[in-house]
Amino acid sequence: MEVTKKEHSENGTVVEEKCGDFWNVGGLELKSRLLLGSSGFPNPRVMMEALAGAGTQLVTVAIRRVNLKDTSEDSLLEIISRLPVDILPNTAGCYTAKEAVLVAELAREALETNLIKLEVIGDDDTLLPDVDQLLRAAKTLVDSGFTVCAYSNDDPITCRKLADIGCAVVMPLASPIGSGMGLVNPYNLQIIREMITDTPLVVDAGIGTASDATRAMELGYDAVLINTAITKAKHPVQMAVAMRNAVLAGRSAFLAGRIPRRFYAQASSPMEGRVGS
Amino acid sequence: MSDGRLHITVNGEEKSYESGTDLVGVLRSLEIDPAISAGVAVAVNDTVIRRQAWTHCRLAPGDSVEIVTAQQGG
Repeated sequence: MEVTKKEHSENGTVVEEKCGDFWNVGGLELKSRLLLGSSGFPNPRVMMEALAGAGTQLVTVAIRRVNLKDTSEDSLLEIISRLPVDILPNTAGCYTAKEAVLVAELAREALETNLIKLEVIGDDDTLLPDVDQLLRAAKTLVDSGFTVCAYSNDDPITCRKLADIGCAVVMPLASPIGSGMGLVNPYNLQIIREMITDTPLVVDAGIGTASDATRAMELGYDAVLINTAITKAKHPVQMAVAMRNAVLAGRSAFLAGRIPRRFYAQASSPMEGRVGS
Repeated sequence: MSDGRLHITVNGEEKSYESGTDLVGVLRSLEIDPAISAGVAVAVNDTVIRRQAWTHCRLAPGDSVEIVTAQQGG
């Protein structure tokens, strides 16, 4: 007997883009739920291909002093402007609220955007946020009209405070920046999601591989922000595509609604009508 | 210093300019054309100077000028 396999319909294979499943950052409507950092790509060509492969619409950049000795180097902005992405400047490297506010103001002036990824770091070895300074900076920037995306530790109370201050997005870490340790405390991330339903949440920092991104999305996070896991992968462009698919899978599974966990088996085939019964 | 020149700090480096040099003069000396400087921002003594105010920004001895742009970052 000849068996002809039916082709899978395209319907339902992709949750992305087709279903109008948008989220937004302070009014900026986004289809892609994968934010990318731009740091550490081996060269501009790989960066371009990875950003395209990831399908990202929001890319972070740092604000740094112009190189006084050579102002002719290829502008990052020129490269990024060739892609359909918005720029999210960050305050990486700031240790006080005062520094972070100044860098945010410089970013707004340089890039003509109110978006700011707020990072206020408390320690060189862990790069964990200084909560006191972070909250102060967030308040000042929100009051100054910035759309604040606040990088936070995975403490539900701090995240709640950042949301209450008026941050457009709260971004708890999965594990320390660049560590690739994945979701070390998924329970806290789950609590944060359950506590904060009125503000978009992004898992930022610590994603190591595709399954980490999927797990974050399965928890109901609106998006993930990834840098090192892509730029330092053996094949950055391939990893960017993997992350895109991982985010889509996680989002789709979240929307589909996972089954509850149970300790004991539950037969999936019917018990009635078994042979010999 | 009393050599009649303008001693300021630019991006952390000590610099000396002719007396009376203003912010636009400093930017030009670094081959940054104020007219086509998208992506660049300036602060003097920790205060951001809006682009439209660059031409009116005079500098005083000891001023600290920061000139920044976007770079790769996560």
